[in-house]
Amino acid sequence: MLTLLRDLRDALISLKLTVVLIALSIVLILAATLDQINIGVWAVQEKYFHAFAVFLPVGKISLAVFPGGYSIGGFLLINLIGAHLYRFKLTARKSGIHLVHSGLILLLVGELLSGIFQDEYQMRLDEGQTKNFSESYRNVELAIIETTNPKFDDVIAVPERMLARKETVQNPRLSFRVMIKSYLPNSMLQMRVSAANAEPSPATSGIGAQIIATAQPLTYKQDERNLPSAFIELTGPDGPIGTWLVSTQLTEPQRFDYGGRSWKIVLRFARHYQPFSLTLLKFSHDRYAGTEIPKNFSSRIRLNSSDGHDDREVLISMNNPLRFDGLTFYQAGFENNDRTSILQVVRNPSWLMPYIACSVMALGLAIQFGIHLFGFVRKRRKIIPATA
Amino acid sequence: MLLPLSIAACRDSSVASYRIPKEIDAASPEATATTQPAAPNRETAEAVVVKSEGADLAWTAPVQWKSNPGSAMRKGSYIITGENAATADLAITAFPGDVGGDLANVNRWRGQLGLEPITAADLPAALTSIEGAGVPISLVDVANGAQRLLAAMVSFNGSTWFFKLTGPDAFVASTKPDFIAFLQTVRVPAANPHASANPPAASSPAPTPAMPARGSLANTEVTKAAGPGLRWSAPAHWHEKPVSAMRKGSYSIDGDGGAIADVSITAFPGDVGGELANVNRWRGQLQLPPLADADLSSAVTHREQNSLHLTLVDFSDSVSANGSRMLGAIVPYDGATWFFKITGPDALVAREKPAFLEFLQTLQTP
Repeated sequence: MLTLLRDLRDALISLKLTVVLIALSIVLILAATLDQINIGVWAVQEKYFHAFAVFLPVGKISLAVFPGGYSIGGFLLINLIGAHLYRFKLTARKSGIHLVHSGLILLLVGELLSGIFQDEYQMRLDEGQTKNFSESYRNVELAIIETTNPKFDDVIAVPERMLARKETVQNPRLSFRVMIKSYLPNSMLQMRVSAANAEPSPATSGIGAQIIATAQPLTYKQDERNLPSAFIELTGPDGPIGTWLVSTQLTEPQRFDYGGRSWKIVLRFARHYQPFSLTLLKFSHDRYAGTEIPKNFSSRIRLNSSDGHDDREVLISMNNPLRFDGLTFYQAGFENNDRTSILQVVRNPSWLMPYIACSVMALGLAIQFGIHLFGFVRKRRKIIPATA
Repeated sequence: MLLPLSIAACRDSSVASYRIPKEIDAASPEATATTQPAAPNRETAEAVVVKSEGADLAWTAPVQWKSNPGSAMRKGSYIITGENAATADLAITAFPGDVGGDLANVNRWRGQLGLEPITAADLPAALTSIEGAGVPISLVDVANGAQRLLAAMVSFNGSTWFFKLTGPDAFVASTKPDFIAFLQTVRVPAANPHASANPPAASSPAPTPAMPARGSLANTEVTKAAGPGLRWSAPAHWHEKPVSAMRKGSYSIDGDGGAIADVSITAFPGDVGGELANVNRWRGQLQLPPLADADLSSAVTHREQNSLHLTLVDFSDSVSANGSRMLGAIVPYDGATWFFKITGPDALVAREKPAFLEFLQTLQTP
């Protein structure tokens, strides 16, 4: 038994495993890069890198055919840490190598944490517009908003994952049950008047009865978005209140009154509210004089925090993001004849890790090369007098 | 490494609720520029989700019925063979919720036989109530001359179970007594910890009458426990109806001349709009004008019992010719609001009022 464990440990910390893992990661990256043509960059990340195994459909079942990013990275991490514990000796002569490896471990851990905790949103601002939320690129949410109070709205947000699973939602803040009758991850809407022979709509309330929602194949192209729709039935203590068609293509929320309260229901790109607001004062699209070649894009923003501590102007330009309250706002695009600015919003609690890791590795390399250089020079000095 | 991954898997998979400053729908620059942003009070609320899985029902099929390998869809499957090689297929399936309600289910089956749908008014005539081994069952019998379909619906543990027998008209008609006898064996397994949605009698194969909670009620009353919720004892002359995903309890009361009163017991999370909203919702059902906040206290009576606070109402619709009446009780309990309501013709509800009030006195926490 002990021998078996020792063999397993030796295999885990062996240099052979390191080489095999590096070879596997090369193959993984190559396959993922090629597959981007078919499924796009987001799906590739999920399928190849943020996964323990890469699955391929064989007939009706999915088979794991290759280790995924988490498996390869995980084993590399174990291999590296294990090698330090059992194989390498901590000596001053090897201190540089130890530092380089520590940096590498930090880099791997940082990448893992980024993969798990990083959130990306976008904020689209017209000139003069103020927003205190950013929106997801891909994920949607069903928002049921109570608007009875004239001062504030109470929002209940049901994530896409629950919609796709058609989970029934009961929440203490809702005086009804929310049942997902159907969910179309990508859909096309069409007015009913233009299709006379269509089947009757499941929707009984709101605008849905006049609209036909047809399922569409999922798109993975980078310049296209899936536009989900869903039929939502609300049921109160006395029976069904109604069935609504909600869709990201219906931008206006649908209103209804129930139980003496006013409500709105809308399917929208998932929102992330933040305790401060940004107002776009001016978007600038600078060009080189006499040409149409872009020189710089920048957004002059007014930042206003709800606690009153911050009320200032900031300039966000390319490679010059705004970092505030754990979020980073990058200049990502523009629209609407240079009157709308699109900011990429990233929350990455481990954003400093790669910088620290690279600094540690650089220091390690400098030390290691330094040791060798001084050793070489010292040896040379000894040799030169001997030959002279 | 697995810990952060499992945290990541749980993110974005629960319902979030938060408060934001008033938003104006049209996302025009003018409109949103005036909104004063404030820190959202984001919290992840505990979402109660009705699950479809859970313990299964049990039944005993006659030996001559041949068990068929069930598919992923089917909980059970039997082939019944008769004379001249006539065969009928029995499919047992279960779906979460009420699958659209009794009417939608009946009309789905009618549609399968090419029959016209029926209206809600025809529904009571189309359903026959059968008592399984403690499990209330609704039976539907539809035929188009060539084919016959016998289907039974059972609400159990938040799901609806369907027992559907299809085959040639004459053969299925002749099998109907056997099928009903089979349905009467449908029961909740004894060791089932999820038997909460059903009478306790159902949890044991040999039903034993529950002890009456109050002497004045007939000693054949049925004690009803609804999960971790409230418990009650219903008078013996109230006929228990199958509970649905909507109702925690359901009874009908027969009056003179075919009059029927309906007792419904429902529970919803939160305060469901508050006392005034609920009272006015009920008034609206009788076409009565809503009450103002100031009038509420004179329109309701309050009662404290068994550490429960009951708000009682008694409304009559004096405008319409047949005169409907409603007695209701609103009972907040454990973060939810329970509604006990009896509706029906004025005379019948008036007759049942003492029984209803006595019934409310049996309410108790588990």
